[in-house]
Amino acid sequence: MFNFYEPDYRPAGPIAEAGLYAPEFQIIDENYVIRTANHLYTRVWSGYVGMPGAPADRPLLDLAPVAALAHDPQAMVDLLDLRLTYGSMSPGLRDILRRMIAELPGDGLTKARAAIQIVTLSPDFAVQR
Amino acid sequence: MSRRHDRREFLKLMSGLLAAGGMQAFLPQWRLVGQALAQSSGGDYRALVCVYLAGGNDAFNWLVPREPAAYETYRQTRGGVYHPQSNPTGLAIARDELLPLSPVGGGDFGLHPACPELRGLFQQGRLAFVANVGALIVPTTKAQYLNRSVPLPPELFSHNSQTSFWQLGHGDLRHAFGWGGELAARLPTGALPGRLSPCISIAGHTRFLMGPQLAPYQMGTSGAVTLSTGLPSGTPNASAVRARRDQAVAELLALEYAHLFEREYQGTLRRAVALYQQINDALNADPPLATVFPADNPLADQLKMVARMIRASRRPEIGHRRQIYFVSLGGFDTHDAQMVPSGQPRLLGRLSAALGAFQQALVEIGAEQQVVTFTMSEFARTLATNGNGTDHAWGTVQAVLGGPVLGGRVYGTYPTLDNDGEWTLSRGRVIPTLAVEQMASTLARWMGLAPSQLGAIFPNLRNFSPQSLPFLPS
Repeated sequence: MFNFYEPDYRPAGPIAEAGLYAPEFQIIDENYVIRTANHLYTRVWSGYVGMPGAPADRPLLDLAPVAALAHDPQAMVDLLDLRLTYGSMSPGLRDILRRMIAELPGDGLTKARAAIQIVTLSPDFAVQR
Repeated sequence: MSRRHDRREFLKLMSGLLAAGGMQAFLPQWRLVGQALAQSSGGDYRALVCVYLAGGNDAFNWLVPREPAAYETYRQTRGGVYHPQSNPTGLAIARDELLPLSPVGGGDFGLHPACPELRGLFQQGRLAFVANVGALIVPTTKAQYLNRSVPLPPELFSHNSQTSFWQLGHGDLRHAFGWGGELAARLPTGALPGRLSPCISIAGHTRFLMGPQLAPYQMGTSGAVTLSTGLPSGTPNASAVRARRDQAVAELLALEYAHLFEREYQGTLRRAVALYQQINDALNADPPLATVFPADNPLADQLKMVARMIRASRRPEIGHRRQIYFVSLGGFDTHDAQMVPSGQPRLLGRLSAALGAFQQALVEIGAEQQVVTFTMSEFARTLATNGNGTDHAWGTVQAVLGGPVLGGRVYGTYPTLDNDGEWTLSRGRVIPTLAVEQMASTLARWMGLAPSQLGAIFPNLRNFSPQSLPFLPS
C-alpha cells in the first residue's frame, strides 16, 4: 500500500522526451540533489576516523587512505573512482578532479574532502549504470 | 564559517562564467534571468494552494449536520457519542460540542470543535464547503454501483489509486500528469523554460503538480536548499580552497552526459543551483511576516513558506502571475484511536490553526483577493465504527477558502448519514454526488483556463452538470 514508486512516473526532461519512464526519479528533485550532497559533505568533516571527539555511536569514514595520495592526484582519482563509482567515472569528471586535487592549496585531508564532495554531487555517483 | 558568504562567492564565480559565455552553454535559463527581472506580476496575480489531507480525512466528523433529525441519524450510524469510558467505540461528536455554522441560504451544520479558526472564516463568508464530492466517471446511483452498470473509478477504497484520482481528476491512473500541472501548462502565463516552475511543492513529490514539460519546484519549509560550501573552522587558506573547489563544482555542472539518467540528474542539479540563489534572494528581500503561525504544526510551517513565496513571487525578480502550490498534512488514515485527543482532533486542530494563520498572512501581504486555498483528501471514511476508528470509504467533504470564494455556504447536497441507505453502501460508505472534476474545473476556470480547454484536462467533465460550481466567480 505504501512506499513504492509509481511504475509510470516520468520526469519532464530528456527521459520524457525519449518516451521513456523512470520511477527512480520520483524522489529526485532540486531539493533532493542538494540535500543529499550536503548530507554526504557533512559526513566527510563531522564523521571521519581520527576527528577530534569522534562520535562512538556511528560508522566513521576512513579518509586517511585518500588523503595519503595527495601527492599523486591521478592515484587519488583512481581510488575515489574505485570506492565511490565502482570504476565507472567519466573522463570529464576524472579530469576535473585531477586538476582540482593538484591545484587546491590545502593538505591531504582538505584535498580528499573537496574531491569527495565533487564526486558525491556528480551524476556519475548518483546513477548506477 | 559563513555559509551565506560562501554562497555569494560561489555565485560570483558562476556569474563570472556567465559573463565569459561559459554558463550559457549549460544553463540557458540564465539568459532569461534578465528578462525575468524586467517583468512584474503587477496586480494580475492568482494562486491556488492545495492542502492535501493524506490518508483520507473523516470529513463527516468535520462538517456535521446539526438539524435534529439529520443529527440523530448521524449519531446512530456512528455508534453513538464517543466517550472514552462509557462508549469508546462510538464516533459521534455531541451536538452541543459542535461549533455551529449558519450558512447563507439556510441549513444547520456544526464544525468539529477543534476548528474555531475555520468556523470564523466560514461565518465571515471566506470559507465554503463542497459536500459529497468524490471520484466518479459518470453520475452513479447505488443500483448502478452494485450492478456495475456504469464505468466506475478503478480501485475504489484504496489509498494510492484514490490519491491519484484526486490529483489527476480522472480515473486514467496511467496518466503521468496531475490536473494542477496540466492547468499550469495551459495558462497563458504558464511555464517559461528554465525559470522557476509555476508549480511549487513544499511537501515533496506530488503527481498533482506534474505537467507536460513541467515539473514542480520542491522546496523546504525554510526556503530553497543551497549547496554547502563551508569548511571546518581553522582550515588554512580557506577562501582559496573554497574558490578552487567552487570552480570544480562549476566545471562539473558544465559536463555533458550521454546516459539518459545522468542527463536527467545533471539537469536537476543545474536547475537547483540556478534557482536557489534567485529564490532565496527574493525571500530574504522581505522583512519577516508579522503574522504568528502556530508552533508544533508541520502544516503551518509549510503554509508560512507558501505565504512568503507568494509575497516574493509577485516581486519583479520572479514576476510570476499564476502559481499552484502543494502542501500536505499526513495521519488522516485513522483506523485506530481516531477519537482520542491525539487522533483526528489534533489533525483538524492543526489544519484549522494553520489555515487561519495563512489567511491572516495573506491579508498582511495584500494577497487575500488573489489566492484560493482548497483541501483534497482521497476519501472520507466509513460512518460505522471498526471498534476503534474508521476504514476507507468514498464521497467526502472538502473546504475552499480565500477572499474570492463565495463563502459561508455548503455547496452540493450534504448526504443523509445512514448505513446502507439510498446513497450509502454497507458500513456507511457514502456515494459521491459531485465529481472531483466539477470541483477542480471550477478552480481551474478561476485561474483563467479557457472553457474550451476544460475537456483536455477533465475528460469526464462533460458527463456532469453543472460543469462548474458557484463557489467562485467564473
